[in-house]
Amino acid sequence: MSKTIEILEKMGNDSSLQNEDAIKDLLVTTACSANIAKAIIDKDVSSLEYQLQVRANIVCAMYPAEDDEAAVEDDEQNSEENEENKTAIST
Amino acid sequence: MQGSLVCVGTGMMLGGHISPISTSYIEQADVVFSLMSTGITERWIDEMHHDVRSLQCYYQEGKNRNITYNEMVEAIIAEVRLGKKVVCAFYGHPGVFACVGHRAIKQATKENYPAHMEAGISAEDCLYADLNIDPGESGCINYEASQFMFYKRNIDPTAHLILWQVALAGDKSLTKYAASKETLQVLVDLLTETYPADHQVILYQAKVLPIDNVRADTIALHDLVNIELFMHTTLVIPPSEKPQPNNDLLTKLAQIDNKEAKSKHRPKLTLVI
Repeated sequence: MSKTIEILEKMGNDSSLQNEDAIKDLLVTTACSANIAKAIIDKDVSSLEYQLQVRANIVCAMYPAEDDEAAVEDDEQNSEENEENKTAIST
Repeated sequence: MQGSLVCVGTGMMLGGHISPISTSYIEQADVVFSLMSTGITERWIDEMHHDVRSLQCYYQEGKNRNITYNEMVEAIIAEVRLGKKVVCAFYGHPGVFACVGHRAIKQATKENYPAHMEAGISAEDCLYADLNIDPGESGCINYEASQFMFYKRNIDPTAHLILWQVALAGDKSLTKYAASKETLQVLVDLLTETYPADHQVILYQAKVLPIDNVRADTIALHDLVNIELFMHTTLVIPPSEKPQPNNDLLTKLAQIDNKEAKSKHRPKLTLVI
């Protein structure tokens, strides 16, 4: 695992790292890069994401308001309406 | 070699919430599919296994999300059919306000592959801890925000009401990643049929990274349309009324209690012939 991810993982699961001083000590002992350390201390998520070059534009909507059958019926109805509109326009 | 499927949750907090069994499943899988809530947590899972495939590529603004979810399921099942030990890692709990895991397990089971889900720590669990709410105290009901709007509901103002994915509220097309002010106003108008317009509600976001802060912004309900919402923002509506005793039911219960008390103290009679 990369150093930065290891540091974040440790910060997430070690109860002794839930204060700023302990985090600063950790960053020193792990010889974390200065830019990463600054992002962590400043709680700058954007900077961290940029430096790690992780995926941007994450979607985290994991639940549809309606189930498949209702969605399929809506899609079919939309297709039928589109076909009717095309016929109306062409005539 | 028969394929199999396990859906696990990685919890909300990077590193802090993933269970030992979920970690073990990920590490021992042949292939891992991931669906995380941030790029950094996605990287964290990437680094746990040599073959992690993000399902993010199936999302596209303007595309019905049901199609996206079904494509994700097909990608997952395709690997199961190849005889692999497939693990799907979802953020939070893999089956709470998350349909892909359930659909994939249903399909795998239908095709006679072993498939199951391991529980995870969900955003709802974090909400109770972060906001100091005990759902047992006054009751609590959870809805996906749009689903709440699309169907007639009986709102109980004496219990907590929690609306998930509120930033997408009112999107019937399932293609948008942000609700308009107009659709949010429709939601506010619906809620103000039950709650006062100035009822204090909470916009909540759980910590995902150790350097995050919990979002717990209290606003008046009518201000919802003017506040910045994100896909992971949840609307928490505390009770606006005290519960009223159900006197008829309480009377019935008291009658049962009295009857039971009398039968306990009745003298024992023996029939002598």
